[in-house]
Amino acid sequence: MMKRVLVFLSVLIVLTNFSACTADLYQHLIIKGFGIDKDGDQYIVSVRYASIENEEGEDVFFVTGESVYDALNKISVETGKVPLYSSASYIVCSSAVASEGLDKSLDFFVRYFKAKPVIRLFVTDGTASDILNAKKDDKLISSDVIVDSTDNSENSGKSVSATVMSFVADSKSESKSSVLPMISLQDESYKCLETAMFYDYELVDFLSEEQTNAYLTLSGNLQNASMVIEGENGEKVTTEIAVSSADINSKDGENFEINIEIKAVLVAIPFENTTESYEYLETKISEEISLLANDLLTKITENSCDILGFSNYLYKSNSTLWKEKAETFANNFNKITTSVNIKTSFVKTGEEDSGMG
Amino acid sequence: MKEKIISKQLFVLMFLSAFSFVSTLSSDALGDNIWDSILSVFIAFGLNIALSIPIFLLFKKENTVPEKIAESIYFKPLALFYLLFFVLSNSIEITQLENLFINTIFPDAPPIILASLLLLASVYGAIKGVEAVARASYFVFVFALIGLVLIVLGSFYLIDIDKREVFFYNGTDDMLWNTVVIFSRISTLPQLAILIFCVKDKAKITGFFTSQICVATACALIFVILVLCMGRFASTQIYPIYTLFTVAKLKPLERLDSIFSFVWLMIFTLKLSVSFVAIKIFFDKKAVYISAVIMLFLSTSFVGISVLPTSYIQLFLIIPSLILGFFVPLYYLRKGKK
Repeated sequence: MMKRVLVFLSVLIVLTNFSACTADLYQHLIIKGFGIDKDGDQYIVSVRYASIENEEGEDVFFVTGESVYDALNKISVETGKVPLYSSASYIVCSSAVASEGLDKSLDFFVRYFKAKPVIRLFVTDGTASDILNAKKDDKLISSDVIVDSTDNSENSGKSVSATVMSFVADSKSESKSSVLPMISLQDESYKCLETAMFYDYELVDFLSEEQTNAYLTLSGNLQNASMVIEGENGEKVTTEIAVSSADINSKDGENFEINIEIKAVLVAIPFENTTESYEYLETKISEEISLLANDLLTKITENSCDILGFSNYLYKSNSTLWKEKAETFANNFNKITTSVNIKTSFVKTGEEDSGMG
Repeated sequence: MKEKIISKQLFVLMFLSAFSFVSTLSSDALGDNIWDSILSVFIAFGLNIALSIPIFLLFKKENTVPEKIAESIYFKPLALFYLLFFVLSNSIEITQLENLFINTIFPDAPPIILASLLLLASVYGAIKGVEAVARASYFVFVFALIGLVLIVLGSFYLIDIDKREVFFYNGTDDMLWNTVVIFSRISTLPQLAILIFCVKDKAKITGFFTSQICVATACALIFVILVLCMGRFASTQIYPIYTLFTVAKLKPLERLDSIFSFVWLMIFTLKLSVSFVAIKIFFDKKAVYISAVIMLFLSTSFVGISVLPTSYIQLFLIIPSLILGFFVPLYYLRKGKK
C-alpha cells in the first residue's frame, strides 16, 4: 500500500512540476521570425507569429526596448500570451543594426536557453520591419518563403546561408570574419542573391551577386550553379557547374594560392552545334570564374575581411607560423597576394550527341 | 551480503557511472580548447584503469576492501569515511544535474523536487538490492546506446570538418587541466572497490579495461562531434553538450534533448543507486535513508552557487577518491603479501 502511495505521489509531482506545457497552446504565441531595427538607442523588434485570426495564418507586430530582450519581454504585455521562441526560424537584421555589431543584438539568441541557435540569420540593406511586413496581393508573404528563398538560392549556387550558431562560430574563429545572406524585396518576393561581409561581428561591406557566386566557388560551396558561356562559334552554351574541391596553400603566410576543381555538365547547346570542343569550353569556364574570383579577392583584401579563411588555413596547417603572424595578420591583410588556379572538367557520359540536336 | 552479480553487470554499471559526467560538463569547467579534451578523455580513463589495478589484484586473491575493512579495527572510521565521501560526491553531482535542468529544460521546477525524485528512485533501487540495480543497468545501457546513436546521427547535418581545431595550440595546459576535471568526474574507484565484493564470478581487469575504453571512445566521439558541429560557438554555451543535443535532428524527430534528458536521468539514478548499494554493504538500510536525506539537503543548498564552485569541490574530492579507491586497496594488498 505504501509503495502505491509513493508511486502516486511521485507521478503527481512530476505531472505538476515537470511538464513543459504549463500553459495551453492557445496561450502561447508561436513566433515565426524576428526583425531587428534600431532607432537611436531603442531596438525595434518586429515579430512574425502564427495567427488563426488572419487569413494568411500569420501576423506581425513590433515591440521596442533598450535591448532586444527588453523589447521581446514586452510581448506578453502586448499580446497576453507566452512567447514560444524555439518555434522561430529566422532573424532579419537591418544594416544599421549589423553595422554597430551583431554581438550587441544577438546575444539573447546565443545565451537564452529557450532560443534555438540554429535559427537562420539574414541582413537587409533596408529595414527589417519592411521585410517582415512585406505583402503580395495585399497579404503577408509567408515566413516559410523567407527561409525557402535562401534554401532555393543556396541549392542553385546563388546564395550563402547562415545560422546564429555558424555566424558566431565563424566570428570567433581566427579570421573573425563571416558572411550572411542579404535579403531584399523585389517584385513582391524575397531575393537572397547578395552577401554581407562581417569582421568581428560588424558589417563591413556587401558582395554583389557575381561576387557571391565567386565566394561560393572559392569557399568550395558552389553546387548546381548554371553558367552560360560563349561556344567556339559564338553560340550560347549552358552548363551546370559545381566545385568538387577547393584548397588554400601558402608557404610563407603572405602569398596564398587557391586551387579549385570544377565539375561541369553540358546542359544545353543550340541544335545546330552538336560537336562542341570540351577543351575550349573548359578553358572558357575557368577563365570566366577566374575573372570573378580575382574581383572578389580584390574586394576582400581591400576591406581586410578574411571571409575565405586564409588565417584559419594558417592556424591549422602551420600553427607555429600563425603564432608569429596572428597579431598583425588582420592589419596586414590588404598586403597579402593571392592567385587562383582553376581546373574545369566536364562530366562526360558518352551520350553527348543525344538531345534535341 | 546474499545478493550477487556477475562481473559483466559490474562493468556495465561502471560504464554508466563514468558516462554520466558528459551531460553536466560545463564549458566553464573545461579549459578554452575543447578539442584538447578529446585526448584528456583517454588520459583520464587510462588513469582510472591504471589506478584500479590494486582493486583487481586484491580480488584475485579472493579478497575485497569491504571484507578487509570488516576484519580491521578501523572498521567504523573507514566505513564512515566511505559514507561521507559518497554523500558529498553524490550531492555535488545531484547539484550539477539540478543546475543543468534549471538552466535548460525546467527553469521553473523547484530543484528540491527533482532531487527528491532522483533520490527516491535510486534509494528504492538500492533497497531492492544490487541484483535489481545490476539488472536495470542492462536496460539503461541499451537506452544510453540508442541515445548516443540518435545524437550522432542527428548531428551529422551540422558537421563541418573545417571547424576542427589544432591540438596543443596553447601548449599542454588546457589538456592537463581538462584531464584533471574529467578524471574528477569519471573516477568511480571507491564504488568499484566496494561493489566488486558483490561479484560472484571472476572479475578481471580486462573487463574493466574494455568498459572504460568504450566510455572513453563514446565521450571522445561526443567531443569530436561537438567541435565539428558547433565550432567555437560551443564555448558560448553553459552546457555545450546539451546545446548539441537540442540542435540535433533526425527527420521527423527534432529536439532530441528530451531523449537526452530521459536517458541521463536514468543513468544518474543508477549511479546514485550504486553508491547507496555501497553504503548498504557497510551499514544498513537506515544509513541509506539518512544519507539520502543529507544528500537532498546538501544538493539543494548548493544549487545556485553557480556552476564553477561545484566543479572545484569535485576537484578536491579527487584526494579522498584516490585514498578510498586506490590507497586503501593498495594497503590491504601489500599487507596481504607480508
